[in-house]
Amino acid sequence: MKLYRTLFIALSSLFLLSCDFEEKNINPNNSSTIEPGPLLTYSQFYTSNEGLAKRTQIGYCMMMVQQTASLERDEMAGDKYLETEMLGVFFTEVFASSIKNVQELINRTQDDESLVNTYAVGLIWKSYLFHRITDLYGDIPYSEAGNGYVTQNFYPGYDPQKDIYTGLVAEIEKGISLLDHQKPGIQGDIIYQGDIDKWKRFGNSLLLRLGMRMEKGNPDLTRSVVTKAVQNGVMQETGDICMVQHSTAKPATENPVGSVFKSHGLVNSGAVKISRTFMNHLQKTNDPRIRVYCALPDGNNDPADQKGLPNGYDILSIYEGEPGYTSLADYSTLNPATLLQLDAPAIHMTYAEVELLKAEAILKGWISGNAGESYQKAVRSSMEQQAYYGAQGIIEETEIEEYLNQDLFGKAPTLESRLNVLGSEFWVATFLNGYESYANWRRTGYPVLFPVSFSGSPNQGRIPRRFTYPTEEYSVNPQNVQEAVERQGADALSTRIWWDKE
Amino acid sequence: MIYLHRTFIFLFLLFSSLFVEAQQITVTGSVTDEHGEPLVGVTVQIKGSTSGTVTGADGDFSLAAPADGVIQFSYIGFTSVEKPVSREFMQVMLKEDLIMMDEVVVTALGMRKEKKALAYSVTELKEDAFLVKSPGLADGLAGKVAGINVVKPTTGAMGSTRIVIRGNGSFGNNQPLYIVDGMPIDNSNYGQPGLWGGVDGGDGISSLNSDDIESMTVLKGGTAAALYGSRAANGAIVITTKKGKKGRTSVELTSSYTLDTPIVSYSDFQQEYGHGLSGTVPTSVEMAKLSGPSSWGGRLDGSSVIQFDGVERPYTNVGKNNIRNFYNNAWALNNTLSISGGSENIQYRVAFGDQRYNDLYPNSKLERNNGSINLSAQLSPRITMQAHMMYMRERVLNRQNVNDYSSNGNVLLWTLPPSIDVRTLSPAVDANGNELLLSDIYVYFANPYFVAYHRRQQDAKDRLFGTFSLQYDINDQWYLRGRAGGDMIYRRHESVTPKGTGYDKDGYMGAGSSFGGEMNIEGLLGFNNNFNEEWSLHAFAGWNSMITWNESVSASGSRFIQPDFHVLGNTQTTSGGQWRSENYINSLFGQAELSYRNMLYLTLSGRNDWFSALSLKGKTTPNNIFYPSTGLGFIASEAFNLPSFISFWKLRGAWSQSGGAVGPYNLALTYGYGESINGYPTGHVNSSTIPNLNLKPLTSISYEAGTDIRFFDNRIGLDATYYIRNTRDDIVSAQISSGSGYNNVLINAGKIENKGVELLLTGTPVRTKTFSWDASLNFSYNKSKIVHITDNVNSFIVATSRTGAAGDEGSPAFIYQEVGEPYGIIKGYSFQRDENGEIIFDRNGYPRKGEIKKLGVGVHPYTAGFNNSFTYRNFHLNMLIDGKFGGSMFSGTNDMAYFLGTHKGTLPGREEGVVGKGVKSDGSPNDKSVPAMEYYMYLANNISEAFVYDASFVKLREVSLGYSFPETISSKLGLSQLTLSIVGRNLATLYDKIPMVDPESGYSSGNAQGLEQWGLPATRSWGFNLNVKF
Repeated sequence: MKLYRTLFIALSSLFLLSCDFEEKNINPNNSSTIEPGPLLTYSQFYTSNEGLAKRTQIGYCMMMVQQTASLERDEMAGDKYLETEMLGVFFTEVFASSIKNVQELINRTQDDESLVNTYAVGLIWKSYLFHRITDLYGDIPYSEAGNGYVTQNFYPGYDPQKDIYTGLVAEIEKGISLLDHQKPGIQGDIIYQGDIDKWKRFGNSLLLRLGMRMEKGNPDLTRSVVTKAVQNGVMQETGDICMVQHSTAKPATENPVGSVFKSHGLVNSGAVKISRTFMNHLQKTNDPRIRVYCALPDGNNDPADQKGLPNGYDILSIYEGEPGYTSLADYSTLNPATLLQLDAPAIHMTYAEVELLKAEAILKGWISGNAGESYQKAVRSSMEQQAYYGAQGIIEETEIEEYLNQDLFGKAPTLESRLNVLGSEFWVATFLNGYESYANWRRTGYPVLFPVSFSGSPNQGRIPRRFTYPTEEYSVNPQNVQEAVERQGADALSTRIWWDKE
Repeated sequence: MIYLHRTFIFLFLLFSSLFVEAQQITVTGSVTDEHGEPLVGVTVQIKGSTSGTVTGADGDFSLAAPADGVIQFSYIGFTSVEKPVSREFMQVMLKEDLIMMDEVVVTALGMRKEKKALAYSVTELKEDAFLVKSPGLADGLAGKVAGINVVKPTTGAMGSTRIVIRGNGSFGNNQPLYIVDGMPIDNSNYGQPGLWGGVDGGDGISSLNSDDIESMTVLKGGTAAALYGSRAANGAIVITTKKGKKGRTSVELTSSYTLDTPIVSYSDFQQEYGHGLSGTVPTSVEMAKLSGPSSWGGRLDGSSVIQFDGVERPYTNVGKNNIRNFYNNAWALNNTLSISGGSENIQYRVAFGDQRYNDLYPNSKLERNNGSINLSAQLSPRITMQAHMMYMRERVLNRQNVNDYSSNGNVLLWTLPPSIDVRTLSPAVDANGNELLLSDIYVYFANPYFVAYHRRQQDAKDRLFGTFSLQYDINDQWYLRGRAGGDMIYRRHESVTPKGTGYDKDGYMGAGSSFGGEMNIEGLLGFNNNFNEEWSLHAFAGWNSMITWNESVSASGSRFIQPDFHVLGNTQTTSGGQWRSENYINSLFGQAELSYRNMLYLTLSGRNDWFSALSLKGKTTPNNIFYPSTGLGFIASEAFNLPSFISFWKLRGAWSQSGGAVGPYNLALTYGYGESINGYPTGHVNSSTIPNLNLKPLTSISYEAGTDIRFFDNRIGLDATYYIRNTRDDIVSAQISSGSGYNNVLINAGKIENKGVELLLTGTPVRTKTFSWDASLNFSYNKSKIVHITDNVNSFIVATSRTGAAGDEGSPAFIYQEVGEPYGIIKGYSFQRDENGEIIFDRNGYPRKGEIKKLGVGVHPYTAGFNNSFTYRNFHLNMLIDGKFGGSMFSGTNDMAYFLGTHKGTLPGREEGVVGKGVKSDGSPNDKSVPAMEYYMYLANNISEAFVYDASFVKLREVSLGYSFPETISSKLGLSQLTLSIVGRNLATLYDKIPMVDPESGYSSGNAQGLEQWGLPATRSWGFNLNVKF
């Protein structure tokens, strides 16, 4: 065969001189390189997407913390603590979209001094994305994650959440320290449009959030991170809000929640309702945000007419849970005139949250300051912030005053009851950022929620403490996921993650 | 049998002894085939002498012969006949030989070869194998050829067909290369349904008109395919079209009409409980709506119950025709008109075909026209030319979505509660023009009428295929041949989801067009020499250049402004994209075939392919590969004196190597830009698969050994082959952890082994002058094994069932490739069992969910076909029974029927609750009762094992009964031939074990074999064929 082969190759090399196959295999449809700006835009923009907004955020997170409720048991499975394959989807989607692209941005900017600000923002945003995933699942791939093309590591190991948090803090700090007014500006930033100071304040606010989160897991680090973050300057005003402004220019740029409600007709179908627990709280405290958040399917947002649906029922059992039940049309859903507008922003972190965390840190003696003042700033900012949802969202100064005059915080007699006020306010203020509402509730235990007992659910009576890993990981990356399970505890909804200690 | 044989000899001897004189006389006569067509070039020879002649243009001959002599008539492809010399005009009829000794088959590169010279197994099907028409040409191969596995997914008549020869050899493409008149054609698949549904866009091969086909040769072994290089790594199917013949102009009309009825296993649906949940009858419209399509209501008692549309109707079983009331009977009408003829130097055939098919699903249809011209010409004594041009026009309306919910109108038909009449969903829209839904929460359960009459999915294909071949005989030994072939397809498609659709109130549409195809240019220098009586050599060497290309543009728009006006300009937002690709393969090839005394045949061949898709700057691995092959055939019956009952015995063996590559642009990471938001463009890594710069071609090595032995004057024959086919360096798109940021990576690592046996047993139990019975039994067994995937990966997921995906109802099942297992196993959640195999129940009475494990194999290892054909005078009856065995299927349709309570299996325990059969964790018998709905829903959502079935089946695949009118009748009608046949297809399932769905159900013609959900029902068809020649 050798002679044969040599003969062939000799003949063929002559004949192949004429064709340049190397050129012909260059993909004409796609670029072989990319600017960092669009990668950052992509990563920020796809931090919220339609499928996750509906099924992970609303269907699980908001249902579990009783901000929303549903009689439906498939897509809105969090209402009844049902375990579905949907729990794994956040993991698979976020790694393969936002994280992959922000990592690509980091790879492309890390050695280029002229792109240092873009690189710094990349580090901070990457940390934002990772903390959301780890807060839902616990141990996840972190140090080896999202960079499969460069590292050729296709089966990343799972890092303990403890180490992830240390890593996140370090990366955010690094990002903040690299931000430099003297260097060329940030490219592709749709959140702060390149405002370096706002990024510094966001970075510190994120450190404050993560610091507080580690309260039970690593109390020492909590104190130092929280103190340092506040010292270095967290968000100062409502305008420091971290959000992505959506637009109606194209279906893909619309607000994912509004878009999925519209295309699936969710307002009329009644699949997503405001929870009775949440509604009771708003009504009891005369919270003016009620008319921004809630409306009946016909659009009526008069606070007096609003009605919340109790959690944990399906279409049959609702008759037991709600004697006199007639129709889903009687119950409030998300207000289409505000939250569900197609150009509504997707909010990732607010000044109100920062002040609430500060108030808590003051109460706990980690930083100095006036907790009551921080609480008031938080409430005021949260109410002002509703204006981002358009004219219907504007809350008048008099309404804010009226609400604050109740002095819910001041009248709370004990530390725990004050923490409850802060936790409840956090819960209201982060409405429609279910990931954060769910994380803060697990951390603080506030507001006090009573778990539902749906008879068809194997988890009745226990609000889940985490999401389960995607099934694919067990077939594709079994050793690493098993290792994580051994370290962290059973891959179950009831297992507590590192920072969530009893 | 022996008795018959002796009788023949006796009769023959008796006959010949009547002639005793030995004087020379002039004999004249004419030779025809069975249909009376003159045969040109028949060798007419006096037995025992060297003198003879050949028949002329009208089949006539004349020669001088001894009056007591015997004349032999022989012609390639026909059974030789001996006749005593006669003074009368001799009218000789030669029968086409079905078990031909000197059979000629068309092999690689269009070379015609004597079958006995081949060292590998080939199967050739003649045109009569396609008498029973199937909507796709390739479906007609089912059950007819040992070693090939034909899968026709339940995606509708216009869907594609999967053909796998000798087992799945790759994690990528497993389908053979199709060659028409020597040149490859484009068999592109225009879209396959996947996890998230979609339509089967059909394939390239189905465009051909079966009436234009003279023969189809299946080249099974690697040796057979080695000359086509990488693209034939999975074998090749070589199609030869009908050509004109010298002689009288013949006009032929073939018409067929078939009627297909859907097969619905009504008895597998429960008919006792109606719409509702938890045994409760809906009491309000809202409750009726929130119950969705659930059959967990009360016992059907005839009471008046409110339904989803607010109308009260009797709560009764609406009857077994509920599903049938929606589907139509499908029908197909085929007409082909051809004119053929020619002179000594030029022969032609011109044909026009018209095919119409109305599918089961209302408003779903196909129209296809074929026009073809075949021209053969002897331009000069040394130059011959062949040209074939075909134009095909295809228009398809409403291919149906399967597997997923949205836009799949079949879903509700498979799940509708027995108390709801499907016709209450018609008309499809409510007063506001919105889709009338059974439940506005279950928006994805589409109204089937809405899908039929409001959604639209259409495509149009115009295709031009041509081959041109020129041969110059330099002298008696050397020749030059040049050929070119082109296949160009222009396709447009459009899909409309109108305003008011349940899951998308604003509607959207997509439209696009693509122009693609392939071209080949080939040149070769050949040499033929019979050195002496004993040795001969045939050799050639050549070059081939191939390009495939595709250029497409597509656009989509969403939110229609004005309802019911579906153009892109009427949408609020539109976006578009384009795609271009080119792929080149250059090749050099050669072959030498040496034969000794028509007894020993040695073949050596080699081909080297260079791939553009494996070339890129910086790449260190080769972009080309050499495939050698060799084969040896030995005719033992020529070499030895065998007992007389062995009429022929051949032994053969072959070794070969072939291989394959990937499509273009898979070596480097690329980036794309997407939507801009507030003036900022988004950009992203373009692929979820990690490319691999150093990919090299995969190789597939095959060995085969076989024998072909015939007994009793060829009345019984056995052809047996054993083969091994090993693939290495297979290009795996291995699933990886999404934690890496990607979902797949391309790696050259796969090793797959296939071993198998093919048997073909043929026999002619009866053959008399008026009656004959031919039987053939083919059987094949293929054992596949995944030997290696990658160093890190021992298994990966090929496909996931729609059930349980993304958190939806039902239990997930997967098709896996796993080291040590056969190709494509089915895995899913099992029952947890104790050491005695008893199912373990938890304390609440639910079966415990076990681990994800192997539940079956998605590909049948055994296939068989049994064909019997009977000819009595002018009647011809043919029956084909085929079956596949040993494979399993996960049926999502059954799973969801359990979830929704439509399955008959959900009846036990409806009133009193279900006490599952098994044990509690302490080993005592389970005694905990669970309400039926909760129990079966849990089962449906958690235990995939409960919905994996043995998919083995036996079907009465084809039946045809034909009658050729005697010439006395046809000639009175002015016809030279008139044949009428009654045909049937899929007439009966003689054996199967799967409830509800057809055992051959599936949604894909890709590698996701063994999963099924919500396809179109299988059909049974009856019809007739008419063949008229003028």
